[in-house]
Amino acid sequence: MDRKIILQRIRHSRFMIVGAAVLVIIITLSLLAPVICQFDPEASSIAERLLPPEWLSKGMAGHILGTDELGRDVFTRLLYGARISIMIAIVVCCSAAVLGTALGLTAGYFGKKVDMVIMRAMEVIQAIPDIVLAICVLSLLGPSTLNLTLVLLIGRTPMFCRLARNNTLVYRNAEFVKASRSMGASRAHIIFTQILPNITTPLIVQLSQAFGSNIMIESSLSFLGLGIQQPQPSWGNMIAAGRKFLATDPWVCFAPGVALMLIVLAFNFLGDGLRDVLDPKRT
Amino acid sequence: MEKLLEIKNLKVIYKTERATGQALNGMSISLNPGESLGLVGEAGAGKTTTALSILNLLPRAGHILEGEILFHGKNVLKMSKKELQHMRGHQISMIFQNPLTSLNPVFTVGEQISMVLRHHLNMKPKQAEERAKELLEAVGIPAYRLHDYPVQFSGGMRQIVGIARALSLNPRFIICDEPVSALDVSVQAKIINLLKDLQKERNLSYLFISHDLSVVRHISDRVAVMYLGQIIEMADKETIFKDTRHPYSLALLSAVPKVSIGQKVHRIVLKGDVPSPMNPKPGCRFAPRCWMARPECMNQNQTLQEVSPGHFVACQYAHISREQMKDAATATLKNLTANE
Repeated sequence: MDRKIILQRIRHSRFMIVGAAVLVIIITLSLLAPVICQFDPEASSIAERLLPPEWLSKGMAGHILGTDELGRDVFTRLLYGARISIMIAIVVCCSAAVLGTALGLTAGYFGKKVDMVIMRAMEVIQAIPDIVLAICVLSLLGPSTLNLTLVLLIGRTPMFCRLARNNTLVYRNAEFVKASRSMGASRAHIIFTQILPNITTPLIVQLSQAFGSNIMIESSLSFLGLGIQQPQPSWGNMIAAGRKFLATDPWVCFAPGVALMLIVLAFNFLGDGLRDVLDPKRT
Repeated sequence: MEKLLEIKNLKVIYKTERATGQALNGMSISLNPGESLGLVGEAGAGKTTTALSILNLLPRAGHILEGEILFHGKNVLKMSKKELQHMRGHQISMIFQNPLTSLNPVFTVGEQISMVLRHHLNMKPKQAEERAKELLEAVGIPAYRLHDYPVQFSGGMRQIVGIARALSLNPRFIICDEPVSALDVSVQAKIINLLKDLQKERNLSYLFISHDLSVVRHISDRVAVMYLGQIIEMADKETIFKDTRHPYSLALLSAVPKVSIGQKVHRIVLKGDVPSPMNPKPGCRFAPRCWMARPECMNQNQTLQEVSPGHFVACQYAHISREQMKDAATATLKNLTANE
């Protein structure tokens, strides 16, 4: 689409600006973590355990968000935790989107038996709740970042596949597809050049929301002890560790909890904004 | 002279889970280079099926039982995938009924056309865009609209873009499947005139499908009337409008609205509906609705017969003149009203 129109629409979309701004801030902070933070995210110092937040009273040198039960700086762990969560989310969601879209286009375009096989496989995956599937696989294979990524990938693929397939069905018999067939277009050209661009908008929105929910699920698994393992920080296992001190030292839980909420909300805002911005039929 | 297109005894059925319907039942037409043939008939007569068969693009449910389609003497139904993809676009292209849906909404009109050029002729993007601009200007769309999306065009303009796309690979034969049915009358005239001009410039042949006789009258050299998957009358334009020989064609022509002050126009109103194509009965297919029908019409198949040079009719009353047939129709109508 025309770059000018898209830029203009972005300027008018508050949701998208807010969502994108929050994400940019979180991602920049997490990327700059080694520069910003003075502390080691994994080294404990018992003498400094459960210190309350000092905010910015000592500048960047203090424990901005306090320390946890092993004396590790919460703010530092928060930023390093964001790195791993976001990285997993990007890897998982992008590969799930590519895989799911490819499967969905194939199922939708060819129909019949191909459709049958692919969609039944997706339904089987969807019939098992994400968390249960992850618990099974991770308990069997042992928790590791690679296993976690694979499990999440399996769980994320069906929704892209279904979305791509349903929209492919809408366009498979569209008159412009017939028209390009009558102009001698090949099957690959019809699938990738004629149909795919028409179904990308909902997929992009879905992708953006999948980032949010993927971070959520990854945190849940880490919370349950199946995802990222201590001492490596992750928002999920930080909340799990802080749970015991919720009544006395709430900051240990609150900081990652609020961060989690913010990032999921930001991804959802971004998704809604993108949907409006990329709508080709908007005039 | 070598025929451009020849369809011989084509039989097509549509098979669905519920039923099997006969779409074409022994359809035969031929087309000379540079000629335009109008194909008329009501909904379900098999006009679009004929068009799609020529491109070998029938939907999955459609099956060709017998017959052959010769384009430049080559059987389309026996072509390889490569040959078919080359034929579509390069030699035959098609203009569709609904201009609102026949363009891909995510590409600008320039892209739609240059895409075809790049795909088929391996043109460079710049070169293709230049050529697309020329094509659009040739059909009367200013070059500055090249980067506009289909939503930004009116229905008529989009149809013109469709025409430009159909012309992009310089085919000699264009199938027009009701190209003006979705447009209002003033735009219809514009499109028809454009098609006529293009025909003159580029020596094009058209298969012009329509249910609107007045449109067909303007563009066609010859007209073929279809009823339930068969051609029932075919002749050059003048003959078919002035010397109609088949009762169905006559009824169809009498349905064309005409303005005549102070004079009542007699319309032949047919009884019943088009019979279901699911279980075709033997005999002349029009017989159950025909006011001229005799018992023998019900079991005797009618084939096209040449009544005068170039004028083919599938009716045993083909020798009866138009006036006599009309009188018979009026008489039957009067009887009907008297009985009621």
